[in-house]
Amino acid sequence: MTEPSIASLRRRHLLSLAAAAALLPSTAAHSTERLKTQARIVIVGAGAAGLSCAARLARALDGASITIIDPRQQHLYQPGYTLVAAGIKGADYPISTTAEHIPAGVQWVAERVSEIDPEARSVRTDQGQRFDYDFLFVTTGLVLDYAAIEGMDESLIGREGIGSIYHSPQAALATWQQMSRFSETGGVGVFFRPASEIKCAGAPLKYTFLSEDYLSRRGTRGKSQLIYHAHNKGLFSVPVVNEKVKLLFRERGVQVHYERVIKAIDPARRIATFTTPEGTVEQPYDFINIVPPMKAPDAVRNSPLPWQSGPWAKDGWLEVDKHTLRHVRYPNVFGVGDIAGVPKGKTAASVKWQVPVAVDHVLADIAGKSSNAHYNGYTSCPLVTRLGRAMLVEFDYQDNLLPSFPGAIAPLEELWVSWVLKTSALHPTYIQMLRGRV
Amino acid sequence: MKELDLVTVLTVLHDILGSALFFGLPALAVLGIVAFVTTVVRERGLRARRLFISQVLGVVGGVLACCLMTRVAASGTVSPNGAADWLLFATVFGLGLAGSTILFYGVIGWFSRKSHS
Repeated sequence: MTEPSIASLRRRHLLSLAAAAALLPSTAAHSTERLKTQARIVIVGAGAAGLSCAARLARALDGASITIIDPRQQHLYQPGYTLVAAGIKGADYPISTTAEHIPAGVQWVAERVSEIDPEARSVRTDQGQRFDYDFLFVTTGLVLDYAAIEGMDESLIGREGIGSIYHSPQAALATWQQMSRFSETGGVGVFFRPASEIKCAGAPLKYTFLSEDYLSRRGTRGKSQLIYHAHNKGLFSVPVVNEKVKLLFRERGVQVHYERVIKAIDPARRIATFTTPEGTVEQPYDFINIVPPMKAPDAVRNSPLPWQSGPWAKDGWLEVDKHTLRHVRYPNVFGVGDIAGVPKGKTAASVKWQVPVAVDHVLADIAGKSSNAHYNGYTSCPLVTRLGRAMLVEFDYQDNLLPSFPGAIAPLEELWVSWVLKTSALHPTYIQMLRGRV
Repeated sequence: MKELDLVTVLTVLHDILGSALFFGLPALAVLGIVAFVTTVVRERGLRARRLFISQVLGVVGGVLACCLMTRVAASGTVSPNGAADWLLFATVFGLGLAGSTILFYGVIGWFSRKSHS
């Protein structure tokens, strides 16, 4: 078991005093009575979703056995990778330790889950430990499948004009070095996204915009060509945002090819191969941002938990109800975050809204009640369009735009204030989310 | 943010500003208000010439407040574009202007009292 850092507790206490001094009311969240229970709750994965679930459960329950299983010692703030890859933040910006985010009263098992058996209500780790549960939260996140691109290898990131902003903070930094070199010389920049579900689907677009901006600032735009290969007939899943991005790409001279899916890469010749409805095409590049296909981890894929048919079956996404995050066939199992097989939103913003819903359903089950907590698919994408500008795009399953600051921050307006939110406010807010505070 | 509370807002602000600014700015505001109120009460009113000088200095304070905001929040890039951006700048400038006018009025009043005594 790991305790939160003394410094963080002292600071929180100090700030509580400051709030009290300001004579402003605190929320009921701090004063609600804890629910007594002997329930065994296992959380598989200590990423954003797992830690947020753990924090909320630990605060709400008295006497429960809460175990979170994940071997990773580092916790990575993945929304920060784009900023590292754009030269805005250093490689250490997204990194913290898992230990500092484990809530008091939660047991952390630093092992990898190798098997999930929802019939026996147990999980097993690669070290052979078995954990039985009454409720299971599957919050494993996803895996990046670089091997699905012929010729691609993670070790190529940062060499031969190859970048990849999704891999890690170090890879994001290596990507920045490649992109920066490219923007000094100019040439052909190639961007794309794969056909699979991906986390933060706006990131490939953001990086295209940022690369274009650097080329313009460094005076090499005129001798450069930027090409975006879309995997289907659009650039963004929300129609009105799709039209806006198309307009911006047109204004900034980014060529777009539709229905092209990455197939292979030849680093020696600097050629990427895409499949199209008409066959394959070869695309030469001087710089390329590789976005690998993404899928569920083996422990989930090899369990009975993924969708059995439909678009999310192949990659192993969890078969959950899109409004409750409860598993369709195993009602004591919940899937939250990237692993959830729901229509939209593999983002930290989705996690922020999914976790309270899933936790509320478990608390209701424990209390013998029912919950009407409902997740509407909310997700958010601060779509950076150049250095210092972003569009704060927020939407739900129905493609409704859901601006957090209606009347002040227009979703489709390129604003500096949205950039400031992305670069300065989101990280501390994310940390509060891990603590179950937002 | 269903459960956003004041402590959380303060924590986020603290992370953005850093300890020096997070505690220093409110302390400076309190100091300025105390000095201003003390001066006005002691002198039983506002002095027009001193207020004018303070307001001129307050403009500099407003500009400095905007510079401080861009330095703290913008990751080195300032690119205001839409109405919301200019509204933010106007708000910060106004707060900086008002705050530093009050501060300068109090400080000048304090020193003029010392020079008279």
